Amino acid sequence: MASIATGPGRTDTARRMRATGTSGTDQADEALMLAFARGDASSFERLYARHKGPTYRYLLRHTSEPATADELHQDVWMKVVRARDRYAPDARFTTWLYTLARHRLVDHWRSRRGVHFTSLEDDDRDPADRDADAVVPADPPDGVAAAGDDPLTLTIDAQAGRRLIAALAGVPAPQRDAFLLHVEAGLSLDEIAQLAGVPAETIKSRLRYAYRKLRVALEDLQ
Amino acid sequence: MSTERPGGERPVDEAVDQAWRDASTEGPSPRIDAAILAAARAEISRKPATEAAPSARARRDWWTRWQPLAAAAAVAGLAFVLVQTIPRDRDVTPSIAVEMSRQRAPVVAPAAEPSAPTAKIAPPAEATRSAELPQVGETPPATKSSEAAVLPAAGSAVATETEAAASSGAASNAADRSAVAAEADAAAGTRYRAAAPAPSPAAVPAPPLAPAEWAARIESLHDAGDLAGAAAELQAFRAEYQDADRHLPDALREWAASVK
Repeated sequence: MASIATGPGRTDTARRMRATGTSGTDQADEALMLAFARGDASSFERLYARHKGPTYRYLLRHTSEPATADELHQDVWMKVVRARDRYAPDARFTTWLYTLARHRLVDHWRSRRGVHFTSLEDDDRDPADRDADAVVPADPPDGVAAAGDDPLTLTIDAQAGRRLIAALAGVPAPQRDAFLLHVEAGLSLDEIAQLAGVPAETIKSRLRYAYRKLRVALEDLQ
Repeated sequence: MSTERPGGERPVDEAVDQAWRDASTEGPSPRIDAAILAAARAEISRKPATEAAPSARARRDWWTRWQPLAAAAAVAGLAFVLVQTIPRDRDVTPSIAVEMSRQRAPVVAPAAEPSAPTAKIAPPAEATRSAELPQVGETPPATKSSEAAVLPAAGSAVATETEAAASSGAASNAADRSAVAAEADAAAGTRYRAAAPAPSPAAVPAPPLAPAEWAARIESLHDAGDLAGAAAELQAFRAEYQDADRHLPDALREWAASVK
């Protein structure tokens, strides 16, 4: 098992840097896209290298099929390529990119019978988890070690990762979507709420629920 | 353990986040990467074409918009050139006519106007010539005061008239007319020979002659045996000059006395 020691602030920064390339490059994303619109191919290559992993994993976690994720990933980026003339940096490039990805995902699900995109929008949690917010308190309960002291943060191995991924597949789509947009895309609560069309508090609740489910999956390893 | 970010903005579970980062490392296949990047480059290479298309379309629109005007301008220019060419030929005709009129009688008889429908009477002398023939050469000063231009409808009347005059046998005056007509022919070309009918001799008055010349012409007609012509010339001489008989040579005075 690999031992990883992380502090809260460092972890958060590292996650955001991973999602957006580097810290403070959000503006650079828009600049690169505008440069691409002006005909700079290298700007697109940089932009794609920065975001291809998160977008692919976002689609892969939702579909659980690498081939389908490849197809959807290509479609999304082809839309980016074709939309370069119409791109206007009204919002973060990342928000626009995951809006495209989400729409493509919806189209994919609509094309498959029996799967409804409303599952992404509905906050239809399991009745047993309706008290999820209470289970995942805003503040660490008394007697609970801080995140840096959590044994799970010290010993996480590949098995834990596989279990985590499997656990996420069992999370309802709205919570999974919020988690992926949060962790992979690095979007803020407000951005996720805007993208999903729900209040930020709803996104906050979905995230708590997803985190709780994933933590339970990790705790089973102990 | 689940927790929330210090700012209270979003829930954070560092252990889950870290585990997720370690586990979730997949990426698109290199084939997909290559396809997307190739599409981006193709889009860029296609863009200049799409940008060039509007400019070419604009050029076509510009040409379509201005093509009728350009065609009209070309036609106008061609017409101008033709107009500048054709009047140059026409100007020769009145100039010849005026030159010829200098050799003719000063005034056209009013009665002769209806008989020459293709001729029009020009204003007398200087005004007409100066207005119509600025490029014509010098005018003989002796004929300026009395000349009147007869402008034929076509310049060929000049040559025809000249031939008629020459055939009449009138010696010196006819010779003068022939000389002028020959010059006119040389200047205007032979095309003038074909056109308008020759004016009648009555309608074309002889230019005024000096008494000595008129007397010489009458004498030559008389000596040639053309007594009728000599008599007509004498009558015209008398009409022009009161003392016409006095200018006649002695040999003709007896004959002239018989002419009334």
